Amino acid sequence: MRRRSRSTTARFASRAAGAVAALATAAMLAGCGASASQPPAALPGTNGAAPASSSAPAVAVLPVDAPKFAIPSDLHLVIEADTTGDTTKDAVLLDAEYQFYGFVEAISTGDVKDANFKQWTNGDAYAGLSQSVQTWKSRNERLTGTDRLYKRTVTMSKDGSQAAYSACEDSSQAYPMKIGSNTHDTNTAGQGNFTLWQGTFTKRAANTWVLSLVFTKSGASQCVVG
Amino acid sequence: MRGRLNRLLVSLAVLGALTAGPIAVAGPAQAASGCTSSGSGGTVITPPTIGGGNITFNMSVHVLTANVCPGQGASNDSSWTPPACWWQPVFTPDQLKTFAYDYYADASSADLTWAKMTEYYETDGGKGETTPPGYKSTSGPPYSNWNIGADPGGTWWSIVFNQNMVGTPQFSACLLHTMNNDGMPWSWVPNGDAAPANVTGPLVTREELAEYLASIIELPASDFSSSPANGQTVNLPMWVWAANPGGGAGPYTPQTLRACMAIDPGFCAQVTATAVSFTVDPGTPRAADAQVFDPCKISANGTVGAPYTGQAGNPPCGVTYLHSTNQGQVYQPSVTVKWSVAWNGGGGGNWPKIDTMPGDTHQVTVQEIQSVVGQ
Repeated sequence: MRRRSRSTTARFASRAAGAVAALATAAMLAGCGASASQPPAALPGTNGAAPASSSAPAVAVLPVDAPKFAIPSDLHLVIEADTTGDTTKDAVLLDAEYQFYGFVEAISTGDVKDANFKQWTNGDAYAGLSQSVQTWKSRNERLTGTDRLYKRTVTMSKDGSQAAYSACEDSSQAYPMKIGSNTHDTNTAGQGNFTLWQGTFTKRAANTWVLSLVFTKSGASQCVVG
Repeated sequence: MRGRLNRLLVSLAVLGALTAGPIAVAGPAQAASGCTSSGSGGTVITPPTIGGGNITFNMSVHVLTANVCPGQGASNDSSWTPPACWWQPVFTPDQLKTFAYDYYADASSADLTWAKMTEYYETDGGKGETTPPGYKSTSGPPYSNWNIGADPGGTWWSIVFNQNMVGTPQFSACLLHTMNNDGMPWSWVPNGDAAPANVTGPLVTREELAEYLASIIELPASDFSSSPANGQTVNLPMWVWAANPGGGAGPYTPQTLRACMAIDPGFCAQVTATAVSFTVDPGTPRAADAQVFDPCKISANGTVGAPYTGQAGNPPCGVTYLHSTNQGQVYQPSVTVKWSVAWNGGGGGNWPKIDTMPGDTHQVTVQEIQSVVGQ
């Protein structure tokens, strides 16, 4: 009993740069043979893509012993600091951060079998996100700008084997860009830039978690800012 | 129906669209209401969506047949909550093995998930060893070779989600019930058994399937024709009706939506929405500004009221405005159609479900009567 929602088409996702799906395309620098460390192209209108605003909460920084992720230098991933003080939950949040970086790296390499991607993603989540990787690759587009995660929460199952994960994503400062182009497209997604992510991390080993299920909702009221 | 399902799966495969949507809408369906519906609705209780788009996996296990108008109308219904998830049959043994190898298999020794999974479902670690003598599909866990070829036959169940519920507390709760009591995502149910006994999540029932259908059925928009369409005159009736301009059935015939599990246990559920009332709001600031002729009865073939063809007298359905609109002012009449949604199982909780579909407003101006004095 509802209006059929206008399906968010691939084109929309592309133009909109909404969500990590768009983020997924990022890193396509690798697709044109450049390394991820190549200096960013001039991007009129990106405003320098400064991470969030000056009033934003502290940004989580990857631990010194974190894996190395190849993220294009003109794409900024901002994950707001959100430690809970609970050892297990913090471990999930850290693995969720790695999962996010790994996913973006998979886009960067265009390789659904990217090791850092598979390390933190399996099952339905892997099936879905792999398709996203391939979709963005097929469009010959990537993402530039800033993509931000915030309001991240974790709830543990009673037996401690599953963790319900939730996060908001702000892609309003992110822009789709054709590979090889030095100008980005307009981000027309509006509130669609604010995406709710919900998923399940499952325990794969002591203090080690992998994303097994993931869902997104574009324009979710919980995530819309401004 | 079986043939249709097969074609659907084939087309999905060709498109490379994958799927996890346990329910796929089969179409096109011929709408009985006069709507020209294709009925190609898309997936439902689905798997992950990425960036707002549906991500589907090659495990479509439901078929929906639709007989609905396309994408019109919206509900302000809030009297009940559709299911956010349930466990249901998702894979045959062969399908599960393929899925697991495609999306879980990892050669890295660090992946204990895959090691445990193969230990649980495969036993022989994929070495192609023969199933042990006397092995039954119900012998596990541990199971042998994902129960391929084992007797008695059956299906692997897992949790599936209603993506329309993402962001709700019910959905969040579902995320903690994605594993069975052994910490594995799929549970075996031999043919004839109702459901797995080793899961804590909700198990699909026909009624829940019906509730899901009731939550997604798309109903005809609430709207009307009128004469005159604009430029009303004070104290003269505006006729209001709903009909198919081409004749035949009107827009408010019963709408049905049906879904079936595509693999065992293969049960189906169907919901039928019946329009029960058509209410005219004259759209005036004060009720005293208008007189409504009602009830605007919905006929058996889905029409309401009577088209104005020059008849004298009051209409069976309509409005007479008693005061003119001021300069720059408009009245905004609209109609609201209330639907009653029943399912084919009878009984159960909170049926029929009432769905009220408000319509868009029209804009009319109303003038004072202008007498024409003959010469």
